[in-house]
Amino acid sequence: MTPALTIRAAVDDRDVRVSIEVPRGRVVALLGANGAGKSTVLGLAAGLVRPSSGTVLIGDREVAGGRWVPPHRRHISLLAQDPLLLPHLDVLANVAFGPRATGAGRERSQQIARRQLEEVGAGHLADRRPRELSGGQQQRVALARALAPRPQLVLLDEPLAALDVQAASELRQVLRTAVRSTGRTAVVVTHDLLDVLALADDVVVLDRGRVAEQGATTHLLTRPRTDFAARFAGVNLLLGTRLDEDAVRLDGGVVMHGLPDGPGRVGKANVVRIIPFAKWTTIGSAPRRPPRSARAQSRCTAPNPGAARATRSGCV
Amino acid sequence: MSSRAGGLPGWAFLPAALGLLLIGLPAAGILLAVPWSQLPALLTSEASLAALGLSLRTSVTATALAVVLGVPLALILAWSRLPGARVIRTVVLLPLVLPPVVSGLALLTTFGRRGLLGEYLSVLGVDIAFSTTAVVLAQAFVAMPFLVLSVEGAARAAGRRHEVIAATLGAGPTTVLRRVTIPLLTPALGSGIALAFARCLGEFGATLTFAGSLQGVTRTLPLEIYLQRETDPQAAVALSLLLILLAAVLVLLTQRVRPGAGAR
Repeated sequence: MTPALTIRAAVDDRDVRVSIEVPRGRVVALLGANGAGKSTVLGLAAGLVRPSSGTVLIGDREVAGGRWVPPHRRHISLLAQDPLLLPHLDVLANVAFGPRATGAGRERSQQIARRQLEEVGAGHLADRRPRELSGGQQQRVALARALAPRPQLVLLDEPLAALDVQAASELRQVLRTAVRSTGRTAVVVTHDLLDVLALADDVVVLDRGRVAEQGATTHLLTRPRTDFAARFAGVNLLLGTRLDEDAVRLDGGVVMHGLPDGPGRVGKANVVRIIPFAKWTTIGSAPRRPPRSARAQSRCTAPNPGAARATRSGCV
Repeated sequence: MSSRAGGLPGWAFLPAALGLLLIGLPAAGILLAVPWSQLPALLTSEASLAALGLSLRTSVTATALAVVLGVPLALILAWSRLPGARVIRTVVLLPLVLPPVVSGLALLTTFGRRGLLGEYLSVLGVDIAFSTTAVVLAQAFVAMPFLVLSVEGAARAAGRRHEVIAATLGAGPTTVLRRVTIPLLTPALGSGIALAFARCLGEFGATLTFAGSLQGVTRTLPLEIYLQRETDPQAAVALSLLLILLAAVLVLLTQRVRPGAGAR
């Protein structure tokens, strides 16, 4: 099946060059430090950024590259950090805006809007003005508004970042139901591990405008290969050279033993993963395009009861 | 009253008070000179009514013209990355700082019978100079910068974030302009319109130069006042009072919509 979104494009003036696919019905988390290119990727999808080369496809329809499809014809909704409800319209009219703009009649649009508000648990707010709502309520309405035109893809740009802990956790639940359980396709940019665990099927890690790492959420969070993903998941990554099947000499001279993640070659660069709260230290390959380290070809995993103990001679 | 933390020093109130007096005293002075008992008669004379009617008609038309042309101009200046934006803005704001008589002369040399465009227009049988159309053009010329400044500033400060969201919801550019941009800019648009209208009402120099002073055709309120000043000073003062009141109401209107209370 064709992916819901395919981006194979470069934006030269921001030094972004990525190849990303978002499968239909899945939620992909886009992670990365500030300036890694997350907004540019969202912009490429939504039609707010033009690629200097390459192509963007929504389903099998090309929207950038050979031809250009403007944002309003892409069927991609954007939910930003700020709800950005239209202050001159009431909640119902805000949510009905999309259906109305795409040609549905007044009655029909309001009907869609009402149903969408119910879905996110904001049905009782329909007659209010945006300024009468709390931040969490506003974002709930903004979510309903983003979903109302039945977009092929929903872009969530740090949707919970501006909310307090309580409101964020409520809305996270709403998002999980509204996006993940209904088989909608979404890309979510976040800096919060909880969002990734609650929402994302897959994770793409961006680093300085390139895809540094991508994979299924659980796999990537337990077996990170980049500094960023490791820090994000709360895992320590150490760099070294493979000594033999289950040992790596770290750059400082310390030797660490662990379970091999896969076959490896002695003398090649490797990473050692220490998961502080788990029973495993794993030894595996460094990322294909490591941010600050050498290349590696092998993987291995080793048991590490409790914390990893390392000595100069190399025992755990 | 200046004892609040971060408050102004006490002496700052002295120049502020003098500044207020500089503007307030003459306004009070003319109020004292108003011949209150003859006011109704002076204001309802044939010449006064003709001037007032003409002023209102032309000012409304000129303000409408300034809105239709000025709002798109302001939005383009605020949001697009035109290469010559600075030059364009300078040209558009020029009437703010030009002496009105120079503005009138510029219009005359363009639309006058032997002017740049006037020559072609007069072949077609259209004569603009010294007509009511000329009054409207002169007013729009001097008033549009107020509208452009007001709307451009608000549009620039607001950014296009609402517009971007609206576009991703499926709204085309015209729908976004009509349903998002214009409603969000209503406060700025309102104050811009009020200022432009007030400037139209007060237009004198450009009108006199470009349109002349024909009663009922081009003699607006300010021109009537100038004329009466020679023959009937009391009528001039009475009409001035009318203009001051109109101006005060309009300026007051622009202050009702404070930036903080605005939509965004």
